[in-house]
Amino acid sequence: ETPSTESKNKQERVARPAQKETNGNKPVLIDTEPIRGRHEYETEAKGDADLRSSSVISAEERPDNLPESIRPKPQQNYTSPAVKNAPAKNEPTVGVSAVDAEHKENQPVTAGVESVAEHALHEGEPALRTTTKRPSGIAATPPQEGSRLAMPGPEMGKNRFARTETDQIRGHFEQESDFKLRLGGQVEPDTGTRVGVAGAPVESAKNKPIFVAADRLQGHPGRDIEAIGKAELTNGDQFISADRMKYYETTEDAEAEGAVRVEQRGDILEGSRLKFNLASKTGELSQPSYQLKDASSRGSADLLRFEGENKYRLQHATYTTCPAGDESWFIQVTNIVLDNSTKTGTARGVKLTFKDVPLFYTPWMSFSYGKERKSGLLAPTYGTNVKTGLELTLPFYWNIAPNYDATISARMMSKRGVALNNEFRYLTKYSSGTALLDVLPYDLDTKHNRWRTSFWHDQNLTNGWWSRLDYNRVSDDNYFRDLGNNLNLTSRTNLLQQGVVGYNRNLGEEGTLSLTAMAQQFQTIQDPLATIVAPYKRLPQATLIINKPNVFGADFNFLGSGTNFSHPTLVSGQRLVLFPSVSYPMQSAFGYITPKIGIHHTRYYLDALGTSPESNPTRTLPLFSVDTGVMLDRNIALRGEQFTQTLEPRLFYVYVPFRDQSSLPNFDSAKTDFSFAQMLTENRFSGSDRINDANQVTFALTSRLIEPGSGKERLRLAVGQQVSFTDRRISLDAPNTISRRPDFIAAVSGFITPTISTDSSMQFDQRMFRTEVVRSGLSYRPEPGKVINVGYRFTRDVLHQVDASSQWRWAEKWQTVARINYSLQDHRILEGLAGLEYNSCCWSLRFVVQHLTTATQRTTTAAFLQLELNGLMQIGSNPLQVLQRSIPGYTQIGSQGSSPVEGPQSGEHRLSQ
Amino acid sequence: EKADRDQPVHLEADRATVQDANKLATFTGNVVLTQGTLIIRADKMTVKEDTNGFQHATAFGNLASFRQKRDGKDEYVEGWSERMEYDSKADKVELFKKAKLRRGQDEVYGDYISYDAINEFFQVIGGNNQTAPQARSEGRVRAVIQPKKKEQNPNAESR
Amino acid sequence: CGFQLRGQATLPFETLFISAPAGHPIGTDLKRLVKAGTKTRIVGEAKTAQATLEIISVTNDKEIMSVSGGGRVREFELRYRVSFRLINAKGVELIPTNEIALRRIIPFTDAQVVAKEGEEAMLVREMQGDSAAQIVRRMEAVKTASAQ
Repeated sequence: ETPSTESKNKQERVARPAQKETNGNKPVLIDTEPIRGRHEYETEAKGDADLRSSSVISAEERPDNLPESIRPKPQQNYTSPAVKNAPAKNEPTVGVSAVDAEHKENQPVTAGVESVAEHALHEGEPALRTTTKRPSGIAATPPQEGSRLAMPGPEMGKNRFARTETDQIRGHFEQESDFKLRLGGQVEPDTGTRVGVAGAPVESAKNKPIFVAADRLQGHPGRDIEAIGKAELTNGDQFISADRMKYYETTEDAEAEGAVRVEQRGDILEGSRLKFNLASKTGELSQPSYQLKDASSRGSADLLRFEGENKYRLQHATYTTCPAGDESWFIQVTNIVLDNSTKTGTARGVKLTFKDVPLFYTPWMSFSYGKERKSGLLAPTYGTNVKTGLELTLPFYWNIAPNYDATISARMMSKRGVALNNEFRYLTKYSSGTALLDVLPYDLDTKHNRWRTSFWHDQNLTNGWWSRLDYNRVSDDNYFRDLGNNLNLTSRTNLLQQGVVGYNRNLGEEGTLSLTAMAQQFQTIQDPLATIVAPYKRLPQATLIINKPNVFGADFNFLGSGTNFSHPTLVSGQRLVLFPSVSYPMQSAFGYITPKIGIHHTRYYLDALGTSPESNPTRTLPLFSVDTGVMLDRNIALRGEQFTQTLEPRLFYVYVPFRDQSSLPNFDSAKTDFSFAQMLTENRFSGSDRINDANQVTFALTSRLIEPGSGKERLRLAVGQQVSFTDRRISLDAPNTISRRPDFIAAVSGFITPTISTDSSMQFDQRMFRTEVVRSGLSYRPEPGKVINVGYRFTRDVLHQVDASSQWRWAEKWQTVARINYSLQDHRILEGLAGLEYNSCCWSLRFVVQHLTTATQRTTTAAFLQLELNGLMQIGSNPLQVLQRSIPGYTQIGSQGSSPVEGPQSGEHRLSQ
Repeated sequence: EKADRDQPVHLEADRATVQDANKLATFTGNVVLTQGTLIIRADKMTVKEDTNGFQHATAFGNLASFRQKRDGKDEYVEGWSERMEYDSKADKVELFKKAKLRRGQDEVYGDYISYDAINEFFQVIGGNNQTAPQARSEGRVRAVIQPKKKEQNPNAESR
Repeated sequence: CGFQLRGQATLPFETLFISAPAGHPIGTDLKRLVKAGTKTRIVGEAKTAQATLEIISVTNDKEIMSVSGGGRVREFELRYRVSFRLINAKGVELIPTNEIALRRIIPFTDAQVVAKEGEEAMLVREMQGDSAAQIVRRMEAVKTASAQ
């Protein structure tokens, strides 16, 4: 799909929650899931936003039209008779038919002969039309499509961790559904159900000339012809060779014996005896051994029955996708039907043998070898886990329609019983969503029913209106800690339950207006040993944000919000916030000065709580700030490379008078991290309940090394210093917040050498003269597939950890993944992970060992093994997939033909419009 | 047709030389031999008559040609080759080198083709096959069978 | 030491159309930067523009950076990725599709989940401004508009 860049008309804003301009408690939902103020847009129907998938979402590869591919045979030099597009009545235009010759009786004979000779020339040279689109070799397995919710679904995010509360546990591992839903404008014909082959109207093979060649021919003209000695028959895209062959013209039956070889559309079938009808394309080949191009599979059987153009039926056959000579795995079946039009195989009485070890038997199995999403079994996952014991997960993918799908997996756990995890996804023109329900009917350990549900829905209500629902709930507090298997689940504490309706529109050329109404609450699942205060409920909150730049040179900005906060134990009440502000940016090429003044008015209507009576405290205070900066640059050479180095000094003065806020409740304010972003804003507290008193100036100096050719930023160094002229009296007495405040910050990020990059920052408290926060990371990435990251993170009294992670591809086939996160403060491993992946050309084996801290003094250790057989058991998602993403710089090297660097996740399925 | 065997043989040519001693006649230049429905055209032809009057003709041409109507069918069989042997007693034609036989639109090529008109049986042999006398082309024989129109009566000429 | 004030940046085209996902603020950031920093005029649609800056996609997601001894999240890593390309009137790519990826770390405690929304939004907006500035600098590096 080429990106359609037709710009939506100004007014009709595509319903996306615009990122609100001003600060204050924006209804941008953050919490433990990704920023709901999702900015995932696309100018075209492409859903998944990351670069990789844009290249992947090429138009669904059109099924080839029936290529007339005759395998080029050296000694055959046929030219197709000029009759290639035979006229309707099949009269060969070339031949001077016998009757004609008679009319030209009076012409000299030689003319007759000549035309006949010329005719012979024509006749004898059928051109070989090789229009094989794909190399007929077996190797190319169709690349697996990436799987994302394509349009306008939520950002699945590279990392399932980022997924919303609706992360689902499918099977033991969090398996992102990897199937592509397609929503055609007119629902795209699901290639699955379409019979026959698309593409150019194909001459039925019937009215194609038949070419026969051999050492000796004999027979009765018009009735039969027998070819003896290296006999070959070519008809349309079919080629048959054998020692002896007989063809009956009246019935169009062909019989061949002795080293029979049939080639059609890249498939090669060999056997001892063949009976085949060229008209109906049906017949039998005995003792066949076969190689199928599309399925890139091979094997042998007792009997192969041709059932029409695209169907083979094999009796007592073996089937594998391993190349010749590699017997890593194969299945033995009583019978298997391979349908090339739908690219699916259905087998009965299946016995799978892997490395000569029989693995399992199933009476019935269906699989898809094309890219189309096909209902069927996904690769199972076996494993053990301290909490759930031995585990087997069998996911089943159900491809309901191009834009609906469901994945149902049975998760059998020795210590917990059998859980059924279901995920249903849908995508319509204006909405998309996921519904998930995991049920463990009877937990052997806790003796009662445990379930988890999450529902996510994104709706574009057109002309600027949009809405989103995000509801998550579990049956009991320990659900994730007992059944969750990765950090992103086990670390959940507040499960978001929220509904939002929003309206965005433009105001004139650059102005924006956005109105959102939201109801939000959380299910807090407590860790008994580390209970926390449940967050406030906002039932509802309405927010209006208006942003109107350059009105007579000034930028106007207004934030208004009315919220009803409720809490079981803390004080509840309503809060009204009105915060208009105006700034006057004076900008030129090399610098700018932006004075800004705002009035922040807050009014509370608090309910009585315990002894304290009802009250309506208010607070109004002005904020004043000036932001000025200059940009200088020069050209320098570093280690022989030319750079443009910039120097950007910046000064930010803030004055906010002191207002006593001790009597004000704290609904949504917290101390923010002293970062480059924060130190250049007016309020060091987030939310609207605390506005810091400030008379301070912040000085920041940033220097960047810019590559002159591309403008890319190679390295950036920055330092920042905040000087406060008064001592700050507003503080936040929320639990475990630190009163001290760093006032000096330094940071460096970018590439030190072409392969080593760093991203480190340090915050220093000059009064106490000690470091408050250190966050440093170094990553070494010599080539895609090989990355080592090391990190050291320290926040005084909060955390003190080292972190190392690596993805390393040892050889073409071997790849290891590892991560260790050790807390120096708690003297133990918080998260440990090691994974091994072996990708052979037709199968992959993945092994993962993992150690997780799920709660205070509670850990989970799990080990998993997954065997994926390319082209047979389509992979749902592999256990490494979820973990791999936690390695920064990880490159997906799929086993199923995905390109090394930017290939799509293997086996993924995409919801796309 | 079968009846051709009892038909008289006519011969035309630009020049003819006859050696009565061994009953051998040689015709050169636009030679045409007709016997009933059989017509053979060639650049040069030698005809030998055996004791009881049957002729044996050997035709040479830059693709000599022969044409004969099929028995009981309104359809012709034609053949071309550099050298052609015709035995009127057996009503059998043998084509040598660059041989091609055609019936309706079906054609057969090879180094040696024999066509027995009586029981309408043809045989095509490639070069390296010892039965074909001295043909030595790459030894493969080929045939082209045109698709039949199902509803059309198979033996009606599709004109 | 060789530093001079940065001169008026010259983009190799007079008129530019910015096609950003509708309603997304990065479009307004880019317009403001181009207007302030360069002589290039912003026009309403691609037809009349000598060049089109296409913001193909903007994604931000959040991943756990570090956890506490009790397995609670203490730091999230916010990732902001913009993929864009610059094409001239004839559709020739002056800057091929590529991506700017930024990351910031936000400390987190479960009790302040509501309050952290504001901080996260601030960090995202700062990354957005940063990436807009980088995109404009990349456009300045393009030599001639009519790249062959």
